[in-house]
Amino acid sequence: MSQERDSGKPASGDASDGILSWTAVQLRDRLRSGQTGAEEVCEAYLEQIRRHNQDLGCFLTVDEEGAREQARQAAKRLSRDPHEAGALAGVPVAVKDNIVTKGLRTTAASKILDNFIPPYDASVVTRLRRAGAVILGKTNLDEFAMGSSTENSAYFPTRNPHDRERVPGGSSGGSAAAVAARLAPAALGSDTGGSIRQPAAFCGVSGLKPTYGRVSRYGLIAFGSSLDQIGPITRDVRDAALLMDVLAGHDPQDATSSRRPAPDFSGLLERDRKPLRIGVPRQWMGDGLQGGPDPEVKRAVQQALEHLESQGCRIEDVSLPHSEYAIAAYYIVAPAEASSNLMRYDGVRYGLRADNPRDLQDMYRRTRTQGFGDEVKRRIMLGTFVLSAGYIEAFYSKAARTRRVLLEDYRKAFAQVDLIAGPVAPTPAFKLGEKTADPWQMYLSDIYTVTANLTGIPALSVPLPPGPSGLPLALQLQAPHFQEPLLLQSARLLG
Amino acid sequence: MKISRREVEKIADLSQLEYSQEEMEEFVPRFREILDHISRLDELDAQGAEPMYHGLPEEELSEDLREDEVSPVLSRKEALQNAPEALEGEFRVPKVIES
Repeated sequence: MSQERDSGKPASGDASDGILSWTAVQLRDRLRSGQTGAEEVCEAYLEQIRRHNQDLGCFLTVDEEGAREQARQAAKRLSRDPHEAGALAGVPVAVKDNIVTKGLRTTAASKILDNFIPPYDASVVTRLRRAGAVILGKTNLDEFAMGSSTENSAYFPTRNPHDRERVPGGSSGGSAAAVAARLAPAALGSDTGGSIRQPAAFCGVSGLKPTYGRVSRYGLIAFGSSLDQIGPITRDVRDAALLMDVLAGHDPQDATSSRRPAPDFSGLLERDRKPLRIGVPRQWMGDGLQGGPDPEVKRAVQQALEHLESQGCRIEDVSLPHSEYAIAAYYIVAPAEASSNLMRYDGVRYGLRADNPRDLQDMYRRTRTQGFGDEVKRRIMLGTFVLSAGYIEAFYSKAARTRRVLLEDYRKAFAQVDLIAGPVAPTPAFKLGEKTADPWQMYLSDIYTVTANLTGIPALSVPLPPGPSGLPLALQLQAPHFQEPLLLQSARLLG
Repeated sequence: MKISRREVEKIADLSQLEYSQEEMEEFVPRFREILDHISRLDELDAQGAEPMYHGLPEEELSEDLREDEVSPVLSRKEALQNAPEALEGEFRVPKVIES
């Protein structure tokens, strides 16, 4: 298969070029007006997946048959009444493979769930189906979403469509690369410490981590339950708003989902924007955090801030004085919660079971030892350690106190400004294999993203024009709890 | 952090994971390095801060629990459909009680 280096885009003149070039909003409009058909759109994407997935490794499972059936149903609904057919009628969506789909294999990219066929849909999947979306398949990730490069997938790594020698970021690398390479117009990811924002940044697409509780976690395979959020990975922020209109809202199946009514994200995006005050944490742009961002990242962020200033925003210096402790707190809390959540994989109710166990204990141990990859085991070990007698106070409780300290930092900053802006990750996309030997180096990819998860605030990764290296660059915007509309509005000033 | 190999073996035991001698050899130094990094929190005085265990601060959490009403759940057949081994509507596991 011959391929251009920079993307999976088809050669110009391809009959489906039009369909693949449209954003989700444009697709929805054209489907409603009858300019294109749901089945035609579905086929164009399935063809694109057939051509490029082997090379890019975006999808773990492609559901051709299911997608065609959903497209047929969407076409019927659209022909009856285009405006009652659902907000995403006929729009294809890719779903990260740690979100369960009824009857469709869901692995979390782990061998321990290699044969798992969920008996129910995650609430976000139910919402997508109700809105008429066409689910193309399940995207690759770091095993159980533990990683920042998608190299921890137990199946195969995903490659960055902008440079195949580089990672797409992680853990939602399959979703971000699929959207960037036009293997899907939009995708779902999950973000526990940056897993939506960092791959979106590495692949040049938009990624939103909503406020904790804004989107139901029911059916998201649990990693860090007090940190996990599902969110959209899209080509632009209008598409992110469209997806949020479908995904957000209270769910009785998730006790942590918020009862606050979900706003009209798309409607609010069209509203006039008042000039915003945007704070730039001096700890993020200086050299305080591990030497500071790479010069190319720093320059791109500064240029984006200048652009926002030219659009009437006021850029202010703010302080998040305890930022340097966030990564340590995160790598205590997330593994602690993971070690508990992952005890359920024991070979009894689903997934792998080791052959010929001597007894129950032997079955648990050999199943888990064979089924989990090295990074997952490392996090279970770390989590078990920080929760163990004699260490729980010094590590887990201390990390929980640190979350409060970080929250107070944000409270003070948000008393001064509407939004906070900075880098998403310290560097652009790195090379495959570059950080696999040293886990802590990989963990440092998350220094600017974990604070949003530890405190529950929403955050957005917005693509910026590429710098001298030609690799995608991004700006991170963060807002107070439940202020997603502010994030999306300000991001539009950049594009 | 000076964690002994024996302590790491104990953590593996609690985690229901097995490491071979060679794997342990490789694992322990890396594990110690990570513990050094997360021990960074020792420098922070957070005594005055209430621990935050939830994803949101208390005032943002939805307080009310749902009504205690029966709602549809998975059928027994669905619940067993992914079981590695099932027998007569139950999960089957190796013998637990010695005869």
